[in-house]
Amino acid sequence: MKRSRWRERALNFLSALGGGSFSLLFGSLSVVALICAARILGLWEGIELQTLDLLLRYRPLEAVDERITIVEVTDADLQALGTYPVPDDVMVRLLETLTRSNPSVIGLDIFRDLPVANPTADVQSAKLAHDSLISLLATTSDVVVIEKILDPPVSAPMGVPSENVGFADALLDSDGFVRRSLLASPSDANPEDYHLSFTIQVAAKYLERRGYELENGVIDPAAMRFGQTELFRVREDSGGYWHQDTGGNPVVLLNFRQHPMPFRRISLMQLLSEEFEADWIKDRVVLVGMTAVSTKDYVNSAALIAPSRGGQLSHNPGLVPGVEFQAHAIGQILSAVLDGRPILRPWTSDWEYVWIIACGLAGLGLVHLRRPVSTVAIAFILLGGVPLLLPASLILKGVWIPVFPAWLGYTLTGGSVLVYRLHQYEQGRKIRFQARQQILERSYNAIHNGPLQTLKSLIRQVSSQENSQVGTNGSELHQWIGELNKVDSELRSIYEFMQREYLQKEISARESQIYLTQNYVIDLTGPLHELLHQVYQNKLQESATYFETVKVKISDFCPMDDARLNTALKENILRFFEEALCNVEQHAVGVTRLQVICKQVDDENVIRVVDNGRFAEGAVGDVVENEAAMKRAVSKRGGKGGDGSRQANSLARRLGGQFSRHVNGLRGTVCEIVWPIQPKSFLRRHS
Amino acid sequence: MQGDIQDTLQREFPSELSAYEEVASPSHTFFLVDDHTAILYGTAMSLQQAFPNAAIQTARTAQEAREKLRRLDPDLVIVDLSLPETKGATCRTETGINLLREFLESYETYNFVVQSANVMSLVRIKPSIDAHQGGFALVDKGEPTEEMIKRVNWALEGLVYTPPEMRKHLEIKPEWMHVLELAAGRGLNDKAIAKEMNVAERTVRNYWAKLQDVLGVYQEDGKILRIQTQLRAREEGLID
Repeated sequence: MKRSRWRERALNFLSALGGGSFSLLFGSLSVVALICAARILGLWEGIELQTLDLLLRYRPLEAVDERITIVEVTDADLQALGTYPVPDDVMVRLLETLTRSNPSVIGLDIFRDLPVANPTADVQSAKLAHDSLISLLATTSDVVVIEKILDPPVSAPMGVPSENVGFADALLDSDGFVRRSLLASPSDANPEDYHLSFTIQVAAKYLERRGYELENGVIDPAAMRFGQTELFRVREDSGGYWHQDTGGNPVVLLNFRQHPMPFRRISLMQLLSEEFEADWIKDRVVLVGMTAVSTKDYVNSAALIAPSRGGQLSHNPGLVPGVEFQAHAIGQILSAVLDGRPILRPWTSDWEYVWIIACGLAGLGLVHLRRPVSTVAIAFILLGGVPLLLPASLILKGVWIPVFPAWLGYTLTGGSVLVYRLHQYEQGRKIRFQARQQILERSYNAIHNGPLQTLKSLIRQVSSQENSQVGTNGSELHQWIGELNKVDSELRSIYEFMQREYLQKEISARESQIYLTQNYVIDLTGPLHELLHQVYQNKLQESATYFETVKVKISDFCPMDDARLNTALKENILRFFEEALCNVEQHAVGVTRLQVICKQVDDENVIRVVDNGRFAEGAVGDVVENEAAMKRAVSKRGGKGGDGSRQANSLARRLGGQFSRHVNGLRGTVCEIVWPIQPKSFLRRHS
Repeated sequence: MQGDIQDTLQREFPSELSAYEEVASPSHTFFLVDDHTAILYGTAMSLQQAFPNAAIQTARTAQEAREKLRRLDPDLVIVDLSLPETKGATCRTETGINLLREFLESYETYNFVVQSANVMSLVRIKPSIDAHQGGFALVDKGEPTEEMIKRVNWALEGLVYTPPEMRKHLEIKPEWMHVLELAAGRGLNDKAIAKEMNVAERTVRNYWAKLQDVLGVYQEDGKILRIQTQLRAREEGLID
């Protein structure tokens, strides 16, 4: 029972897809397949990494990470010192000052492979300062100093044990931005020589004191783990990455802390003059590094929000000092282990493709939505939020899923479904309209050919009878005829109503094929001279009172060659002709003779309107008596001034002919347009 | 010739056939186009009564009418406007109008009577009617038979009749005006006018017929048409 219902549903869905939209299903599948193929080829890498930045950047703010304090060397500090790099004796004072406040771990994010003498000191005291710095770094177990292991290498200070050294190499993405943190790697110089990063060294020392050992991962043995917290390893092709070389080393995604000032900072001078709260140092991770712009220890990140100059939040990507980048990398491990803050990780690629394909095919589901197109459109827009909002909320849980390919698939397939539905709707409307028109046409044809004909024949019979038998029951028959004529006119009114209905709809459907004025409609598909004649007849009807005063109306409408005229051109010709007739009515006074010629003369078509009235500008009565004045007035209208003339000229140009309006001798005006049947050709003119 | 209508009538009204059996040598040939059986029959009956020696040919569709008219040389063609293109197709006024336009242009000296339930639809092809050289008359299907016969006679004589609604505006073609001017102004007869205008005398007579129709002058006992026409033309101000 249940199974059959499901079967029915499945069949319904398939038939909805198959109902003329099989190609749609096929098309959508191809689109999704193409999107996946493009992803496999790495085409979306750039855009996927940028969307990750966006997702991270628009998270809600987090609290300041109080476990980490940065001791920064600013430009002001360097100016106060009067030298750069920071000399060894200053480093010694710095470390001694820090140690007095009992920090948990000190991370020295400043290279010290070579001695740096204070320019004010002599050779002897400089060597002394360097030696005491080395012995401090070597004997204090809670200090980590940096080295660089990838080409070109920079070694740690001589004599510092390896457990106090971590590399500071940053792993750049192909677009130059930093999104990952390399935790351990063999050095470029010696592949057998495995090094831990500054990040993991500092984190491990801090966590060791709190009972967490650095171990291998449980889920992924090549990953690192502290207690229950596994630092998910990002591989070459994880998430949106494509062929980014990680050498199989443990690499984690950087889950930047979302705060404009995520860590406390103390400047070098503040520290040396002991102007700081001891509490900021005690039991905390203290990172020492350069933030002076002049020293250029910066990385690029688009995922971070940075405080702008006005102290306001800025959502623009920017440069991050190296030491702050290290603080983020260390902080995210500490927070993950101690607070349960999520470590960012991508889905496995299988699930990613399931998600992309699901989104792509979700668009197809709209076909099945048996709702009006407007509802489908709204559903399309609302559902379109899913491939955007779901990733945005999952990133808060530390899960990074593809956004762009999924959204693209949904938009393309859903969009094509929407277009298809719109097309179907339009099609349906057209069919319904045609059916309606057909019914109207059939019904009025049926009335016309059935009852109306029979009735007419009946009326004829009865009236013939009446004529032949005058006297006897003539009045009765007469009454009959009256009744029959009434039925006839009633039937005719129904017929005419239907015809009007039919025409009105037909007009809106075929607007381009119809010449429309306020009072009448002309089907432009007929021969041109008949159309012109209809315009003429209608004009005479419309302005009957004027044209009745014109005693002689000579007209000649003969077939014209209209083979190369389209409906738009025909419409323009009719407008021109109507305008010419209107001009007679408006500007000619005392017209007794009107001549209208619309015919083919030799190989030219001619439309000519000639009146014998005096030309009046504007109101009747304001008569231009003098011929010169009339000529001026006419040429003014015929020149650039008149809008009608401009249109007539442009029409003549399109027809390849001539328009002219001129004075006809002493009285009257000639308005005409003449164009050749064949377009003027070079050969013809010269043969 | 006679066979056609008789076949039709035998098919449609077998009992009525006897009335037509005696008909001998026809003096007129009529060609009747109408798809409506009752009308076709009624018209044929009336014509036969009025012209006992006439031969009547019929067609019921536009296509059939075209084919038959190609072979016939009738004295008069009577057409309905509401026609189907082919047998079984829908009747449309459009079809009849197109057929008539085509006939008027191809057979320009034939005489035509248009019998319709809706004569005003003909306004559209007025240019073709004006250009036509033969007799032409319109009859509403509801008008009495006598009226129809009268129009048929007019058309046979080469005269023109259109209903008043179609000639409200006194539209005149230049050549008609010319005829009027030559006759009234210079007192020329048809032969002289034909010579002057360089056309056949028959054409001049056709122009007169057109003028008469425009001015609403029709045959009445005791009146001379040409004089009546010139009087009316003066009244209307066509000539001084």
